[in-house]
Amino acid sequence: MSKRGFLDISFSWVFAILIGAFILFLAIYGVTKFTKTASMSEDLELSKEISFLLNPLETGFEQGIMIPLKLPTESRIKVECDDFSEQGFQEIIIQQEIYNKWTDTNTGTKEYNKYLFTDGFVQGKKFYLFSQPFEFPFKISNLIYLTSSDKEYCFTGTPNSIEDELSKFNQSNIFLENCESPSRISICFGQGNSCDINVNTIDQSIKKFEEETIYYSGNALLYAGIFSDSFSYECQLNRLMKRATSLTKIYQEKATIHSRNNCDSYLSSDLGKLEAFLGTYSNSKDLKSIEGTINQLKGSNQHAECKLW
Amino acid sequence: MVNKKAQVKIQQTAFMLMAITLLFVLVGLFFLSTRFSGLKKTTESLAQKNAILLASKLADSPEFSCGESYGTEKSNCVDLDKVLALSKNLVDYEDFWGVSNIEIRLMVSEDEKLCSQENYPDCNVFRLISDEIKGADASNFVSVCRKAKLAEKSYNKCEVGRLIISYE
Repeated sequence: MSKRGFLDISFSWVFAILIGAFILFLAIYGVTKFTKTASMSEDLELSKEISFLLNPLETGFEQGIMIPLKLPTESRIKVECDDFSEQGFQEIIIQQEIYNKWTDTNTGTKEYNKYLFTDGFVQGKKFYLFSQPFEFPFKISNLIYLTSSDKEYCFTGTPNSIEDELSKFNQSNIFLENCESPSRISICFGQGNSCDINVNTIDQSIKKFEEETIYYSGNALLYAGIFSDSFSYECQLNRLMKRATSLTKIYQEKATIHSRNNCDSYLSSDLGKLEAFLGTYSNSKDLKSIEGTINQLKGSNQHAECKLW
Repeated sequence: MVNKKAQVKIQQTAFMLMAITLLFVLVGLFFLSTRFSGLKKTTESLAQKNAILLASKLADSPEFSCGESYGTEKSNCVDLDKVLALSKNLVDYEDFWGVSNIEIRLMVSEDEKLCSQENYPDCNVFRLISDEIKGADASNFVSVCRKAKLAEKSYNKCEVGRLIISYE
């Protein structure tokens, strides 16, 4: 007499259900993993494409050009800065919004020779990029500024030279009047009440709400200070100072090569002062102390029989 | 007899399920390999794009550019004196341009004579990063300038050269 259980299911059915469930689990796991990898590779590809887009801005002679960047989906562009290695690096990380969820890519494109200034992560579908050359006193690099079209900046009390420069970019999220709108980020030069960003042109400093005061030298760093947060500003400036140190060594060496060809520039002593300053540089507050030497080097090179740069 | 029949049935089901699993795995592997070969191709094309862009722009970067050293500001002009100075300070520029080699070749003669601190300027090829050339390359024609001396007087010597970027 055979005994039958409550459920009359044969072993082959139990076996098939178990294996079927296992196959289904594997398939769902595989598809989820694959989707994640695919979105990650897409993010990485996009970050690489953006980094290529920076190439003409980084080395070009062109000034006052603005490049609009349109992305197919709502995206976040994050620039992480590291100033510890030889020249430091920045990493461009992209996150895209797919079906109301942000892709989670923690790796991006590392760039050792570019300096992109952003305020934290910038979000939107349309972005603006523009660049300015940073000279200290020789050209170190073009600084690139990235803003989202969703974020509007309004400048008041702006000196004429800066106003002219900004209007040349023809960037639709930069305004030079009607700063009353609360949605706009207000940037005030000199005295200004209830401004999000205060620029003091006398001691060349920028103060943002709840952020450390940062210092600048020249318009390129002024824009960098305005369009980026204080942490990334100081980090990128550190990287720039490291590149300036390497370039100072190159120019010192070049001065020696030129003097062998009876072509003296007489800049060696000032270049030595600059190298000593760069060796002790710690943050933007130090910029003021080297301004005299920078101006002297600029003037001496301009009038030298054999220009170094 | 019934027992044997059931055993055969179980075996049949097991084989069929194993075959289905194998089929899924094979399809998955095929799909992944297609996807990864696509990724490899994308990586290669991105590296090529980077090299082409770099070749067209590197001459204007501060480490290579002539600036106003040889008259007015020049675009696409490599300062050979600077390159010699750079070759001495290359430790500062590890991975900086993200390429395997940078070569500056003067178009004056066919014979290749590598430049070093000792034989400069009696040479025609500068190889930065490494003495070996590996992988594919992208190049651009540039003017190459340096200071030279004639009868104890210095003058600007500019020639035509090629800036070659190698990448792997």
